[in-house]
Amino acid sequence: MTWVLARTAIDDRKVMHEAGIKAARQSVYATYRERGHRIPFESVSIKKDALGKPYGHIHGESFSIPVSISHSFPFVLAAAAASDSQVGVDVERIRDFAPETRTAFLTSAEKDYIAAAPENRRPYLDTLAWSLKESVLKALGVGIRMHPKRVEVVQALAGGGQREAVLKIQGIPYTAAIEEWQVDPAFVATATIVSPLSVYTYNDRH
Amino acid sequence: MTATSLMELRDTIIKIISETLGVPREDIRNDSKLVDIATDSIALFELLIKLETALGRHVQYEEIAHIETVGNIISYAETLQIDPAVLRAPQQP
Repeated sequence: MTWVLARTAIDDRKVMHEAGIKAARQSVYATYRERGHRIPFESVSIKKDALGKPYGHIHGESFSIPVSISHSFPFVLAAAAASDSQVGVDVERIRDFAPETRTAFLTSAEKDYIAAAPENRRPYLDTLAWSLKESVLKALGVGIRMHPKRVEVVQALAGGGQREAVLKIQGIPYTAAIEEWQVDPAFVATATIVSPLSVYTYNDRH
Repeated sequence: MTATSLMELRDTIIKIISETLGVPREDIRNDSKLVDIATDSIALFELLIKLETALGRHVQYEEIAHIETVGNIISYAETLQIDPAVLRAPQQP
């Protein structure tokens, strides 16, 4: 996976969107060059599939490169991965969550894990849990079509940095490659690569 | 729903969007895009929770995947046949 983190000066949706596209193009370009291919940067474009998920396209090539983009002012994060992977990224401002929000998106196991942590670490862990769920849902291409509580990330909350962890998606365990950064004292970013899923159903009864 | 109830429903939704996302009511229009007025995905999720509480209904995620604008939320809420008494009840978290 190749990721690009950028910082913007203007809190404007259009500016953030364009910065995200540029970061995604840069990550696709770097991924392609890492494989030894020389291409002009101008040949790289970002398109969207039928579900609205972005992917990288090289002019003249038939394959697509998985990408993911996330914005949280002032940061923009993009990542590209190998064509047989599914990648999702997310960057979030660390915050205190309202109790009803925590109850709505955290599983019991996640709440228990975070409750056992020092109090001053809990906002970070709450935000990390959200960010991991978001990056997984984006990797799967389902976004808000799946409730975040259907993704359990408790095993991924420990560790930090680059690691493999078992996640549960609708109760089924998957191994995912995870990267986690505290990009700023006030922000956390995550990137997740999950193995391709050939069958997926949305049955959101919770 | 009566016309009055529909107005109450719309006013309730606008009020919740304004209070949850910190956007002045006069800046919220039917064609306002949620991704433009919400700072991030967490804010949108908190909005969903507040709306569920206010409308007294759990929302299936598949049903709201198409929602992009404030108008979409109001149209969706109108299909739920909300009891006006629910809108008038004091909100509990």
